[in-house]
Amino acid sequence: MAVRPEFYHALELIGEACARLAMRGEALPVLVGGAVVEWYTASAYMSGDFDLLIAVTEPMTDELLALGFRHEDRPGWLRRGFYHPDFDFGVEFVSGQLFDGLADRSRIQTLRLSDKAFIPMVPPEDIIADRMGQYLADPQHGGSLLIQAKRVFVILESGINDDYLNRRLQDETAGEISLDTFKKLIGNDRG
Amino acid sequence: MIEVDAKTYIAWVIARKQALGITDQDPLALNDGSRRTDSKRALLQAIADNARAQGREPTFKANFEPI
Repeated sequence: MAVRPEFYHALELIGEACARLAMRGEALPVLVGGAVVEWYTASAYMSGDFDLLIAVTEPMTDELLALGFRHEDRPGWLRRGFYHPDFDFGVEFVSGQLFDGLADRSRIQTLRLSDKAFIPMVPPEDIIADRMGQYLADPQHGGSLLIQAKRVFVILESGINDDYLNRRLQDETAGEISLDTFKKLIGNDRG
Repeated sequence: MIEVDAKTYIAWVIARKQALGITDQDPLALNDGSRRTDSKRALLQAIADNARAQGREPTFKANFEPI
């Protein structure tokens, strides 16, 4: 029922790198992707890696290496990833604007893990919309994307901003899925 | 930005899961790995190789097409 200890420990390590970055006055990354779903569902969904949206990568690279991470350095492959050799999780840098500039950055949540560790993370509305955009883009509607979106919505329902979620769903699905459509898709089962 | 205390927040999420009857005996499927980018596949392969070089399976499970 609780969040996986190894996942929480990974968040603490990445959070420590973010705090060190902040002390240097550098711009901070934002956690996006499956790890956000794992956090909002307390490990009902399990992610294998951490995607960080970041504009300038060098300072964060320095901090991750200082904390024991290694570059993924397989010859012939694009090197955007890092992994921790003792804890078996990866971090990948993602470039570009947060959800193509459509997300409201003032809604980013700073997850405070300790006095020396914190991580900026996209809010639940953005990750639900992101999952639904990917769900719609997949002709097979495969994987667990709809279930991920449903679980985040159901668990956090009382804290969701309906107006923002409605707008973001329509952003990410080219207007095909509104909040009403989404609620119909997930049905009445709240389990 | 909105600051959230991690331990307080996760306690609330866990309470919500309990109230809804969502158990971790029936976790959501992992990413099936079919949409991994090449760079993500390389990263996951490096993690798996590192763990196996240390004589163990990776702690974080992830589906991906091996490279």
